[in-house]
Amino acid sequence: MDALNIGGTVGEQLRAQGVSRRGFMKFCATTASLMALSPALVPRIAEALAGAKRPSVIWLPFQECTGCTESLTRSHAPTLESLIFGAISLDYHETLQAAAGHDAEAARNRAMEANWGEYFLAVDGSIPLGNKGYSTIGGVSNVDLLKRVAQGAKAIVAIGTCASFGGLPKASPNPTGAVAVRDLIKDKPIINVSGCPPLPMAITGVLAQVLTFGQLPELDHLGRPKAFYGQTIHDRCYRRPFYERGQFAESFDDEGAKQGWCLYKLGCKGPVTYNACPTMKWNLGASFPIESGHGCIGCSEPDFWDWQGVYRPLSTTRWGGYQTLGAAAAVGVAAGAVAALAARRKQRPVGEDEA
Amino acid sequence: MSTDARARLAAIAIVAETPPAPSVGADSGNVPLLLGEIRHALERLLATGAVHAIDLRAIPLGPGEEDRLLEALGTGELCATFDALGRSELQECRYPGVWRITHWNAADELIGRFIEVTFAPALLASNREDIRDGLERLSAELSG
Repeated sequence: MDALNIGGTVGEQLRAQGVSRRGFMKFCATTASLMALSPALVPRIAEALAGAKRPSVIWLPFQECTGCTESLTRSHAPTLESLIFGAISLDYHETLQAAAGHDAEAARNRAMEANWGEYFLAVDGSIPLGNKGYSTIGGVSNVDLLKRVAQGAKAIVAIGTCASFGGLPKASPNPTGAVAVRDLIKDKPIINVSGCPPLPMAITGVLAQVLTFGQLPELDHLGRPKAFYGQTIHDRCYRRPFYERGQFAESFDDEGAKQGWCLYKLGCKGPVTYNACPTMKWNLGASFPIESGHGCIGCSEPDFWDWQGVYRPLSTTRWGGYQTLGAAAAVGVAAGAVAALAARRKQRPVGEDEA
Repeated sequence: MSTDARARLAAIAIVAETPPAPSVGADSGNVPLLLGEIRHALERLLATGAVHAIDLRAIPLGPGEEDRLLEALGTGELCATFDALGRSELQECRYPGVWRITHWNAADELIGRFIEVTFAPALLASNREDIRDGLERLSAELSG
């Protein structure tokens, strides 16, 4: 894991591992898919990746459950192994590294020193401000460590909803005084890869994109890469035709649920949640929550845990009266579209007034 | 758990139901649209030689829709496989010029599926760098 100054480009590294040009083009094709880019860009990606230098990545875990790392290790394209040994130099990751104690801390310090101003800092977990002792690493509080390591970082990738927006630790009444990375660091570019956990492909896709083009991806108003968070779950949902026709499951075991109708009335937060689950899917592309019969819980949005209930329809929580939804459902296409528009217009304040 | 509680649990009837057949329109409706896109791409290929690729992971598809699309495209004459960072399969479909390209990783997990409309996928061709390496190896063996 202590892979300082390995040098060389990604192309050279893969070639040294015996990967043929054909294998490299395959790597680029799946990487393009990962970055939600058109397959037509594969030759350009190949050219950029072949010459890209391997960046050093330091990963700091704070108030987190390791779910984001679990998600990353299930990323299948490219594999974590190829990412670590081929595309990036993951110099410090407490969960994955073999080193422990002083050796681990020394590895991190050496990586920082050798790549000062050039390394990427990945953070998962929120940072407690209520009492510094709530979460420490080697006796150093999360907030002090974050500020120190962020100083020499080229950019920060906040991985997961906790690092991006505070997440579950910040849920009311926020006992630890949890905050997000962006609440503490103001002078570095921050990419928020939200989700609880984020799609594994979003994590590796962002790293691959930074690596390929040497610049940050285009971000939305919450600092999330548009390639993955540019559309709502609802926009990309295969059940959307049912919504448009006003066909809703009323309970999890009624005829509508069995027929795969829209889960809006069962609390689905798809219309206000920006993420790529319906197309990227989970578990090697097997499915995503709505396909498995459960509504989206909105886990990539700020403060989703305080949205007054996973199973309450949006229209009965903060999005207006239930009667509005009833009318929309009854009238069908036109009213459905209006309700969706209204919900989307109201999406922005969620992040802004509560973050 | 008490005997009483166990008895109460056992009293809950569990019925295994066969899922009903999907109702009409129980999908995204994207399969006919994709087939239309492929038809247009074939016309363009013939007219201008322009290559077209579709990443199936970027398209919202409901349960079974990808299978229905692949079934509609069928299987043609040629199938090529190679092994680099895992297995890959390049299968010509029953409409010549349409190729189904599937990539697996080293653990045999599906990592990408594309439809390419082209005379031959670029991945079939040997690459200059690989040819150069091979030539060096052959030359070394002959001189050794």
